[in-house]
Amino acid sequence: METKSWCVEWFGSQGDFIAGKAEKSVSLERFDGLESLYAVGPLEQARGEVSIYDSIPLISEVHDGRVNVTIDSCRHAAFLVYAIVENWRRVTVRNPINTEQQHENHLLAWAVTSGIDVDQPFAFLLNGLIAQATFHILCNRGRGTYNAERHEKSKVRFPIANESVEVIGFYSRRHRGIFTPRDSNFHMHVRTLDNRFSGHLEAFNWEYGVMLYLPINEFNHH
Amino acid sequence: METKTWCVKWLGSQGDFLAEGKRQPIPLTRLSGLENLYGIGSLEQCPGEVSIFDSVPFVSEVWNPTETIDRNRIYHAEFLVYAIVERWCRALIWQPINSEEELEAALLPRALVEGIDVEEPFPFLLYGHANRAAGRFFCNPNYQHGRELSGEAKSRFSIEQESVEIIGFYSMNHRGIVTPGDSSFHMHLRTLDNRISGHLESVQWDLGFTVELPAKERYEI
Repeated sequence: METKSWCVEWFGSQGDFIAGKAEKSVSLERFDGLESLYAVGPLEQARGEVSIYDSIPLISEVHDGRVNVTIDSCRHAAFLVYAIVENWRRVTVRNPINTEQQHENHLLAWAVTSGIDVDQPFAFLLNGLIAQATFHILCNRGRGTYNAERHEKSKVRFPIANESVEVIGFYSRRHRGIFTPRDSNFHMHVRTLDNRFSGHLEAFNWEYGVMLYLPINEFNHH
Repeated sequence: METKTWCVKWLGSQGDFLAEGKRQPIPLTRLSGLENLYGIGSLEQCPGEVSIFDSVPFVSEVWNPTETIDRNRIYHAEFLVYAIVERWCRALIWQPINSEEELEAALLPRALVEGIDVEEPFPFLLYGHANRAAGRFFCNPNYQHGRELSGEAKSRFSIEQESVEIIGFYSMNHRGIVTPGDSSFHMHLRTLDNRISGHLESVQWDLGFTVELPAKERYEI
């Protein structure tokens, strides 16, 4: 019998953040020392994005209209969804994946095969050459009350074409407005492998297929 | 309790292949249907390489433009080292790695943490943005393929600033068998657009990479 050795947790919520009701930001320093940590969220005050890959915190911000990516654990997230995953099952998806629906179809099929309860949140990784993609970085310059309108205006979008990337994603069909956007079951962040770009993934075209990684359950009881 | 759920196997040897010794080429079709298969080897009689990433075989060959490609050909490997690995443990190596010695120093401590016996052969995967990489489309640099290719240039590759995936096998005790006679590594590379795949001779990573090692499986009794 297998048991789950990983789980998805979160601090704060997307809904409270967008409504300007986020009470406390999340210090990234509290995760210092944790290994195999993967996380996504916006920077506090919507001034950028936080993406944690294998415990490395990438902070992406927009400076003078350009993407600036640094490694910094002394920052705070407005909210954060995270998981500690030590071992992964790798699946090579050879078909093109161009929509969130196609992605969901592939992801769920493989997740079920891997013994993941898809009614509960789970993390996944994608590696590959992305033909086209759009990501955004929040760049809130105001000091007044944050709200949905300002949230939309804070998104600075950037295109990617034919770049090799890594994506950390969280899937849940039951946490819209909590750690996935209100209109999606996915919260995904992307980074190019040279770390020039990093941010919240909005749209993608995996023309050449993709390598999917799913968390694996750890223990077999005999 | 921990158990190993994978092992490295090989058919033929790098030494026999280079020495053109005893040959028992195996058809790659024999491996079809196997899941989670990772392997590297050399093609039979023809200068070329086979690299298997997650059961997907990439064949790289040196062809003269005047030759006709037989699309129905069944490829045979003269030498093949392979492993079936279902579970991988991933880690980011966030430092420049520019030599085999540095790769060995980064790899072995992580392998030990994963409970891998580093005295025995083990596979690994590397994924990242390489500053430079160079290699050959066939393992034997002295191979006389008789195709009148114009110089060695046609049998070599060199890339810069590209994202690549590498399947590698490490063994400190199988030089000339699993690995070349002068190295503990046998690695094949593919560019992520599948433009190039082949036998890797050198690679430089300024930005580090993701390494994957076979994960230990734990049993509770």
